[in-house]
Amino acid sequence: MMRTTNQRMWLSLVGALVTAAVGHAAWAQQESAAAAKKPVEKAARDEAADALAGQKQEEAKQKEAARRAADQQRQQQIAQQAQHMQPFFQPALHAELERVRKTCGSVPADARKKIVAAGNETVKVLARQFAERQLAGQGRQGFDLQKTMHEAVAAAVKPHATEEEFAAYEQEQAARVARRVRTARILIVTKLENQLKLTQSQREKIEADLEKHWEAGWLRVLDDNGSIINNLRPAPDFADRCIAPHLDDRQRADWKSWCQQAGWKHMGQHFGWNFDGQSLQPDPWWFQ
Amino acid sequence: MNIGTTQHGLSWARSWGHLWAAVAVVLIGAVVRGEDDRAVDDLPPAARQIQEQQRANRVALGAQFDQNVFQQAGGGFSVNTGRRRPSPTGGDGDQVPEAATLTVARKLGNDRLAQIDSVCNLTDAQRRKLRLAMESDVRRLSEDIEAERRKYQGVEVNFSDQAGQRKWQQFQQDVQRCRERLQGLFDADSLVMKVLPTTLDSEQYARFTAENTARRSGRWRGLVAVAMLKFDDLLGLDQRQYDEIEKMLLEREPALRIDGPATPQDFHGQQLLVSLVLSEIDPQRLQGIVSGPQWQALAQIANQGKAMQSYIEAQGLLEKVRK
Repeated sequence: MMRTTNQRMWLSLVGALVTAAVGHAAWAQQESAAAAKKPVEKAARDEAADALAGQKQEEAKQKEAARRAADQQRQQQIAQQAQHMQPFFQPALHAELERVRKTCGSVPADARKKIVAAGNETVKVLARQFAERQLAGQGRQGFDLQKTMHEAVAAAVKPHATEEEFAAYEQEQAARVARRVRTARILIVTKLENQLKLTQSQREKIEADLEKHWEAGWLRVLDDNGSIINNLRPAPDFADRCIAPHLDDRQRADWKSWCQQAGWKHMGQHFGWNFDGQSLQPDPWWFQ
Repeated sequence: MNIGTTQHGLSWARSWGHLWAAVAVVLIGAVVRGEDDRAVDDLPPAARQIQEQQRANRVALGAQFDQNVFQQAGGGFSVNTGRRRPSPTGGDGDQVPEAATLTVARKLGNDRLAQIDSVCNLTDAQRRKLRLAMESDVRRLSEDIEAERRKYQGVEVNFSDQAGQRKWQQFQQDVQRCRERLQGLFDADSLVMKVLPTTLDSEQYARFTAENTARRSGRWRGLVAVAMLKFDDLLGLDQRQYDEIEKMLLEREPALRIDGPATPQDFHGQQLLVSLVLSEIDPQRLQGIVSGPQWQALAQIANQGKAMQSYIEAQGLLEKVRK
C-alpha cells in the first residue's frame, strides 16, 4: 500500500521522537546515576581528607611529644650537669666572701646569712648557665665567673655595709681586676720568652706595648692551663701587633711557624678558672 | 760469535729458570700463607683475643727509645705495642742512627750560640771557639745516649711477665737519665759554659751574665704570676696579701734552667715547683699575713709541692749548679 508523503513525514517524525525519547531516557538515567554517585565520591574524598588530617594531627602530636620528651631529657641533663658543676663554682664564692669579711667587718650577723644565701643562689645560677652553654656547645663569651659572683655578692652586701666599707670592698675588686690584667701581660711575655728566647730589651718593649694597647679580650691567655697543641703551648697570636715588630728575623720566622701550628684559634672554647679540688673554707665569722 | 750465542742461550735459559723458580716460590708462598690464614681464622675468638693480647704485650724497646728520650720530656712514657712504627727521629728504632741525637743536640747548641751571639756580638774567632766547645759537648752527649740506646737494640720485652716489667723499669730509668743529660747539655758544667768566661771579654761576659739573670728572673716571675692567679682566685687575697706572698716567692728564685729543650708539658711541674718554693718559706711569715682559713688552704698547696719534690726534680726544670 502506498503511503502518502505526509504519512511518511509523520512516521519519520514519530521515529525521530521515539529515538530522541529513548536517548533522553538513557541520558537522564546516566545523569541520575552520576548524580547519585557524586555524594558517594564526595563522602569518600571527605573521608580521605579527614584521614589525612587525622594522620597529620597524629604526626604533629607525636612530634610534639618527642620534642617535649627531648626537651625534658635536655632539662634533666642540664639539671644534672648543673648539680655536678656547683662544687666547681663554690671556691669563687668562698674567695668573694673572704674579701667581704676583710673589708666590711660591720655587717651584722643576720645580714651575713643573707649574703651567704645570695652567694649560694648565684652558684646555682652560674652552674645552670654553665651547663646550658656546655650542652648547647657554646663558648665562654659572656660567661665571667668572677664578675658575676662579685656583682651578685656586692648587691647583697651594699645595703648592709657602711659607705666606706663598701668602697673599700669595691677598691679591692678593682685591684684584683688590675692584677689579672698584669698577670695576663706577664704570661704572654713568659710564653714568648720560653718559645722564642727574647732578650731583656725585647721583653720590656713587648710588655710596654701590651700595656699600651691592651684589649679586654686578651685576658683569654689566663684560660690556658697548660694546654698543648701540636706539642706546643698555644701562641698568643691575638696580640701579634704588640709582638711581631719587636722580634728579630729568626724569632719572627719561629713566631710565624708557632702561630700557624698552635695559634689561639686552635684552643677551642675553654672555660678557664682555677679549680683542682682545693677550696677556702668560709671563715667562722659568717656563721656567728 | 758462537761462544757468544751459546752464552746468550745459556743466559736465556737461566733467566727462564729463575722465572719459573720465582713463580714456584710465589705459588708455594701463597699456599702456605693460605694455610696460615686458615690456621688463624680457625682459632676460636677467645684464643684469638688472647693471642692479640699477647702480641700487644710485647714491646720492642729499641723502637721506643728515641720517642721517649726526645719527645716525652715532660716525664711521661709512651709505648707503641705490636707492629713496629718508624722512630720520630727517622730511624726504625733498632737501627736508629747516632745522627738522631746529634741533630737534636746540635739544634740546641745552635740556638744557644745564636742567643749568646745576639747578646754579645761575637767575633768570628769567639764563635769558632764556642762552636768547637759546643761540638765537644754534643759529641759527648751523643756517645752517652748511643751507649744507652745500644743496650736496647733488638730487645723485646713481654709486659705480661715479671722479667719484662723489670726490664721496662730499667728502660724508663735509662731513658730518664738520657733526658736529664739532654736537658743539662749546656748547664754550668758543660764545656761551652766553662770556656765562656775566657772566650768573651769582660764587657761581653757581664752583658751575658746580666741577660741570663734577667731571663731567669723573667721566667720565675711568669711562674709566680700564674701561681698567684690561682692563690688569688682560691684565697680571696687582698692587695697587701697578694704583694707580700708574691714578694716572698720572688725572693726565693730557684736556679731555673732556661736553655734546655722546649718542653711544653712542663706546666704542671712548674706550678708544683712554685708550691715547693712556697713550702720553703717560713710558715710564721705566711701565717702572719693570711687568715686562719687562708692559711689552711695555702699550707695544703705547699704540702703538695713538698710531697712532689722528687717528681719536680725529675722534670729537669732546675739547672745543675757547678760544684
